[in-house]
Amino acid sequence: MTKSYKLILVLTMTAILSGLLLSFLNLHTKPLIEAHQDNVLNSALSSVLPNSVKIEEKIIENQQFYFGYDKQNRMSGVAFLAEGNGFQSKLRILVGMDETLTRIVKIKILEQKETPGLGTKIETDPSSRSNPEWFPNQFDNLNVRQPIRYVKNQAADKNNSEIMAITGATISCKAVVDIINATLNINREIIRKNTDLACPAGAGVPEDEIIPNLIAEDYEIKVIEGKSYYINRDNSGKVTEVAFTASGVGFQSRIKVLVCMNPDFSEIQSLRILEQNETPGCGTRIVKDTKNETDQEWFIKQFNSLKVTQPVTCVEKSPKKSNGEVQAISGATVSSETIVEILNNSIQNYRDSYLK
Amino acid sequence: MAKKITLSREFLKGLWDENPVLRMLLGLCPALAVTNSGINGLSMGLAVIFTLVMSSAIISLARNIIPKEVRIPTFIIVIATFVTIADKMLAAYFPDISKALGPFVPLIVVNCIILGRQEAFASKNSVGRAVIDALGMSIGFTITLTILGSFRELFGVGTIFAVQIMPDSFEPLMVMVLQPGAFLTLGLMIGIGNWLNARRAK
Amino acid sequence: MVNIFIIFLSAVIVNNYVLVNFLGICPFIGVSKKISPALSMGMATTFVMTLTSAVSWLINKYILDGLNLQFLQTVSFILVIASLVQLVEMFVKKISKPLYDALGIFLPLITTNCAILGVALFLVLKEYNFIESIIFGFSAGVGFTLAIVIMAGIREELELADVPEYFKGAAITMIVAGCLALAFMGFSGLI
Repeated sequence: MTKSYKLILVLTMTAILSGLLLSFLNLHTKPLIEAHQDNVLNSALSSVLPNSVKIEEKIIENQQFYFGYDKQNRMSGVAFLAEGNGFQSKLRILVGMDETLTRIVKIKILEQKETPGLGTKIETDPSSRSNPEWFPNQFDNLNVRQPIRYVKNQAADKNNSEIMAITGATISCKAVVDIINATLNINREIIRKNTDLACPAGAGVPEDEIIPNLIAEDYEIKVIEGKSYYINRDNSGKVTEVAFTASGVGFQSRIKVLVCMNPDFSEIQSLRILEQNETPGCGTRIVKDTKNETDQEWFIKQFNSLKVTQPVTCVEKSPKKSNGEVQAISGATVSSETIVEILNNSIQNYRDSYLK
Repeated sequence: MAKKITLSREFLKGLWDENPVLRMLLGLCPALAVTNSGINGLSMGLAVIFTLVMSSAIISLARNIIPKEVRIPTFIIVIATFVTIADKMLAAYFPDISKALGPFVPLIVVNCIILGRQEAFASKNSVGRAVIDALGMSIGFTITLTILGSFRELFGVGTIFAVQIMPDSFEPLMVMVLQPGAFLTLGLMIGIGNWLNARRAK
Repeated sequence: MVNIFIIFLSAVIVNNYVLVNFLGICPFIGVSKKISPALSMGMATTFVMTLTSAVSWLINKYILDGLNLQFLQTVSFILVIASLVQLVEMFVKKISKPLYDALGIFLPLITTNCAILGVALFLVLKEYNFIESIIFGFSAGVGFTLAIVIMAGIREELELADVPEYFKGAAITMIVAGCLALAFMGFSGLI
């Protein structure tokens, strides 16, 4: 009997001593380990958001974002973590973007355990003495208005969102590209939906390519509270038109519009649909109504000179334009209503910032 | 005088005659897993030196208190405690090394060398001898791992401890730093060890 | 379902425990002289691994994470494994004599098999959920069994081969394992 007491006593004592010792150790090392992890993240953040003096951390829809602000407290960039599986390990990549989410500023590979000597080149390539980080550096200032692509054995065209893959580690490179593309898509959508965030709604569209064709050539871009405005003036310098882009989710795709307003935001001058991928033959009628023989663009034209002092509403038939009513396309009600919704949400928002 | 000779024998046996990796085939998991570079092999060795010496000292001190029936669990707790200390210290002060070794630091717990030395030596001998034995064994382990790591690094990357050795024209043998390289190199080292031993015996 | 299948394939073939992750090397070298004991060892290991992954997942989730005691991970996992092996041994002895004769002698060896503790540590690292953890434990065991049985098959033949004297035994086993690892590398990128 005494023997089994002794057994229990010795084991318990050992366990207690061990627990105590480790608790003390933990008290001592935990702050150090956490400080180190913070350091790693912070130094990575300051390298991917180089123009930011203040970085704010926010979680939106379970995604972590880091918003960077410059000295004037203006948004200067957004960073986020992109995670996914590489060739044989988990990859964690910190992606820093400009404030319109159309250009990658820099990426930083935080974690990877790819094949030593091959896949690890996505982080550093010791065989290139002059520029061991040539692979991640390819993402510096990369235009991402379209998904990033990788090319093999040929020069990459950076303006065309191309990067060069590493010979012998194509899968790791593909993984990096895929992970960034996928996360970027999701995160853009989140940022867009949460427009109260000081992030322009028009991110991700080839604005400077399309918009000049739609509005006057000598427009001026102005950013107010993080929102981009395209402003048109007449010869005397008086503002004649203010345009902005806005987007929302339609029946099955994201719809993006360019709204041209008169300078006091009381009336829509014209509306253009920049992007949509609705059901062909139904939702696509918001752009071109093939069932209406007299005027295929009747839906969009309804918005010309539409008063917006009150919210726009969508009705089934005989709309009164003076009441801010437009007619929905029968058979494409959801798409029609989305456009109205986008307008109601964005005009208020853009008007407030602009008139201030 | 006689005692002194045996003490140094106690130390030296771990380096060659009873070299844990090459002769006794113990602790092979870390020997294979973390030796893709010299520095990783050395760091793993140092962690093992710390754990083995500390556990041997404690267990040898407590050898008369620990009942025979519960000796294995007690050993394991003691070892696991020191392994955790080594692990956390590495993470706190040498985060890069800790990242490179990954879960193989906590896995020192089940490194047969450590439990084996407790069972075979520390629990039966005085503190001084236990520590000397532990030092010899773990240093033998460290040297083996460092050589293994450096060899693989030299042929796989062309460097030793990150210092360029091979000429620029040398095309690295990638396989050496990959998993097969670990097995092949260790097999080669064991074979050479056997040959040297046989020559010495003659 | 797809996820579970991927975990299985990954642990058995692509990231084979022995040949890619270097876990469980000691029994892999020590118990791979003949096919039948190798198979028994593999089955005993698979059994304990599956149990361990379930228990250590629960412990990690509800005790270590719940009470913020992550720093006791190594200590508690190894104790759980040691006690589990002991329990399994007593249990097997009680219910089935033939099973005990087949697996019995291997069970105590399993405590110090790093593959078991490895499973426990990896499943925390990979943040699997409960079901995934069990599947992962089981698949890792199957992968171990696969490797050790293949090795035993080769070594039975190797007995008859003309191996240089100094390379007999462990050295040639390592080199064969190297070739096997090379072959298994061909699977990487499968997932």
